[in-house]
Amino acid sequence: MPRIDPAAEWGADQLRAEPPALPELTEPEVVRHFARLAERNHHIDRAIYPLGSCTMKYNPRVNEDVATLEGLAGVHPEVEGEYAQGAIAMMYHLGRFLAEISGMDAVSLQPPAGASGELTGMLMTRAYHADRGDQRKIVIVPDSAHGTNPASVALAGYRTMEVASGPDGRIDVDELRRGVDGDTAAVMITNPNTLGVFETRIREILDVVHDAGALAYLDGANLNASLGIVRPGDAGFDIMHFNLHKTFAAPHGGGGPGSGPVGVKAHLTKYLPYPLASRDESKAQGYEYSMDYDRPKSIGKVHAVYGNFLVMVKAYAYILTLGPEGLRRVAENAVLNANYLQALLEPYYDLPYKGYCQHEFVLSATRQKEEHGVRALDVAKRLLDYGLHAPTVYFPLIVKEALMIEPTETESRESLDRFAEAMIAIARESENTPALVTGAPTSTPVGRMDEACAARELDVCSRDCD
Amino acid sequence: MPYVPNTDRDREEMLAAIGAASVDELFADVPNDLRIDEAIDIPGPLAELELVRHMRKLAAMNRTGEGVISFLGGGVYDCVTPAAVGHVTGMPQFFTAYTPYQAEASQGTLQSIYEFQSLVARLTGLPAANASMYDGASAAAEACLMAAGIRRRKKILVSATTNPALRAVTKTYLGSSDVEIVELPSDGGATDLEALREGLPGAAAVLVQHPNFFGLLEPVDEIGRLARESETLLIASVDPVSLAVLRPPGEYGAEIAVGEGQCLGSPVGFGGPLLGFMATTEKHLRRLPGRIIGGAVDCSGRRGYVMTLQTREQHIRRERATSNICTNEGLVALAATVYLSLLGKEGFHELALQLGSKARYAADALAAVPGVSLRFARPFFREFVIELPADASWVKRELSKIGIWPGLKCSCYYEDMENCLLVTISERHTRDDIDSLASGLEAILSAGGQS
Amino acid sequence: MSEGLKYTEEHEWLRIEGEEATLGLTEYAQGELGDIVYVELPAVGLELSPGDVLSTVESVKSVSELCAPVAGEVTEVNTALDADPAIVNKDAEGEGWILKMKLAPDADTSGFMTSEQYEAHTKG
Repeated sequence: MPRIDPAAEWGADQLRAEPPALPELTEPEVVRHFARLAERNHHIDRAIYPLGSCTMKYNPRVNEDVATLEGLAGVHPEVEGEYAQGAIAMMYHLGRFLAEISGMDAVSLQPPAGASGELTGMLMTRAYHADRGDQRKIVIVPDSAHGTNPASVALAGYRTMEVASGPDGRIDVDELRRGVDGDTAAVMITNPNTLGVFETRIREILDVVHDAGALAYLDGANLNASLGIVRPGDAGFDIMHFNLHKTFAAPHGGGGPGSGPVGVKAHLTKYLPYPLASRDESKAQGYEYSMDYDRPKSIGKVHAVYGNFLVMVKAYAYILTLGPEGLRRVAENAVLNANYLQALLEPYYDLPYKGYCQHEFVLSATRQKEEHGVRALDVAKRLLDYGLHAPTVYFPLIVKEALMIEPTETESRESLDRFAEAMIAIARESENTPALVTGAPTSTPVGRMDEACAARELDVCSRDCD
Repeated sequence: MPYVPNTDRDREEMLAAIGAASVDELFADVPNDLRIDEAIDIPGPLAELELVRHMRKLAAMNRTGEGVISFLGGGVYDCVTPAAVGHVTGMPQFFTAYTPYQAEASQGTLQSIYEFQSLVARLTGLPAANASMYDGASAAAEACLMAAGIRRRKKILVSATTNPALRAVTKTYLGSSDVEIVELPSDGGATDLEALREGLPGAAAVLVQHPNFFGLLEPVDEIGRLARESETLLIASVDPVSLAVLRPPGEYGAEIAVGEGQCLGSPVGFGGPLLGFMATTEKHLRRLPGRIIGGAVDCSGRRGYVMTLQTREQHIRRERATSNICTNEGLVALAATVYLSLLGKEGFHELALQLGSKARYAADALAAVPGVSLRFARPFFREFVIELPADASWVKRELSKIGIWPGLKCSCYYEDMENCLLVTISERHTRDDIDSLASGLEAILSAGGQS
Repeated sequence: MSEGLKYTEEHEWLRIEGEEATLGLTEYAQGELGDIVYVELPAVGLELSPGDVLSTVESVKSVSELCAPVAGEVTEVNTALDADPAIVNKDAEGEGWILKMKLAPDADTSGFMTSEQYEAHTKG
């Protein structure tokens, strides 16, 4: 084919003087560079990664394999539906599985992450109230909520009202009752909450919400504890989001991609983002599955296409591999593992909220801080020296010096014991050699970073080959 | 049991350590009337072999691969990816890691994102990029919100020549804010400059796509100049591959550049995961949504990387955060970083020239088919619009019978573009592929017989 | 803490000299925030009513908003903080001042705490 002359083809004034300064390396150099970077990462294949509310479980390899099948990875989204029956069928059935697992009536797979699911849910809340001629302004969020909740509320044009948790770490129902009124559009609840406790009075809570004409939203970040045990839809939630990259074993990829499907009860189905995978068993169009764009009440699109399809493929494969009994065993073992770790660690760290936990629990390093000057951050850093990853620290905000631990069901007892031994050793080090803890880590590729300096003298892009 | 290592004996011993009689007892906080008593109604379990068979069957229900020549694009592009990209993103150290919350144990992820930011900065000519957005559409939407915040104005101009999906998502994101979207009409396939002039006063930003949805180059210098006059921010949505040859947004006055990076080494994947990128000037760095990685030194002076400017983000600023984004498209950004590193300066430039040359060849070949013409006279990059003397749906249907997908039907998005197809060129296309499209089209049109 | 300064419950200090007031973050508050990495300064000429956000002070992992304790107009901001926000850590109630304002004629300057009262407040 003839080569174009760029200036003649595109106009000289449209051209850049020099091609962008990309690296000039051979394949072996590039691969070695990234292999060396890889060595500088902790990852779930190496050891426990007990970040609370992050559900860092093992990522089954067959799911990775099937997501690279040419017949799935190679489908262009603009292809006519009759040539993408497998892809649309997968989406349709995954939506049905999630609806069945959660007790919701309909599911959109479009939101590409949990926070996008939250935004979708809040926009549907707006649409629902607007349809009833109701201009509500407030969304109530407990003080133990993830930061994405209030941020999504704000993006949807609502104001957040925070309600304080009660002394048992659960929503204070009287406090909630005082907060909810005719201006409340929705209440966002994480259940089990970020302290790892189940909202025992959930029915009563949802009655308070519904009596005020508000909707009940479930942040499904912690759904791992509920699989096959309890369904949010049965409890009365109107909207929820799922995190396929947490509960359903899709990998986190160092930050993404995720997938944050949204489930709703029947009265809200019409507001789901368009298009929606749908099925017509009569095959009136000549084929069974299609993307339904005819959704006049829809809040619109939240993703350029249909969402993170290849992440959905992994979650779909995971659900089929486990089946109903397998999913229940996931929840049981996640909860068992968390309670086992909690029992092992309770003598050595403060446990602000006692009793059985669900999939995670929150310790406090207050004792270590007050008696030995060792903070939660120091405990976290010292764990890295033991070759383990740290829990989530300083969250939830209502626990001082918080260490939020979620082991997941894919850790063996041996792995849990190893983690507990390290935590206990660190508690002892805090007493005897606190400098060892406050000076950690020393075995990682770099030590503690000067984050203040990094924020003052910003360096967000390399200048060396400009 | 798949993926659960605990044995029955483990479970018993662990329960004893907890002091619980049964696993059931651990769920005592879940009210009895909410407990599921029957198994949930989903299929499975499947053994690995059964699962793979099932997935292959699903995959076979989609028509892809050999035997199909596709000219579909419109924002999602079928790119040729070096094998090494998948091998790097397939390293468990990358794909099974979480967000780099503990910097000391996440230097690999942190440095690779820093390299991604640096590459985006070089492509766009804007020095401050973030660690990725969900897709080019949400990146554009967030850019509009960011611009409204910077300028404290309530109007955003969006060109009708931007990708319809981008406009749809922007509308959703801005729908509940007090910011109004004003759509600028097109003129000859590009943004109508007269309408732009009229709309600019009081506008926080103008969003244009370059090359635009029809593949055409926009008069970006003129747009940039006009925007500056009214202190309106120019947001340029760009095709990253075009930036190998076209002037970077930073040079024509765009203060925010966004775009879709899927075409940098990731599969079309039925439209996801995609990769939004976003870059801005140093001045507006603190307004960026999402994560930003910064260079730093550790306590003993070693170079490393951290998540920086976290006070913008939801986990600290909560309802006042610049965005609600948390999980992003990290691994897709890694794929783009590896892809750009493998192609390098010369390879990337060559790719853009090849796309331009093949697109020119294809446009000439199709315009030579009797009755077929190019819809617009402007220069184009990797895709272009043809106008057919017949119904586009019928042409698509007929060509698909011989394994050719000729392009995207424009009337799905533009009512006045009946019988138009957006034809997209891939580096994968051979001369034979393009000739097959032209000869197939000619055969169908000359045989006629459409209803 | 310095003699002659007035303090607010929101951890701001004021030095009122005639119609002019200088304002900053208290020594106690800078200690609580830790390493300060950014101070967002308002525009000179900005008219403030009590409660308006006039500056945000950021550390690595927290954000503190300063609100106008009295009505007035911003006359000068401490641009040295752009280059070196750590001045607030080093000398919060001196070189680390944030802005000067011209008090509105009806500005209510009563009800602030003395240094002793503020000290008692932070220990309470």
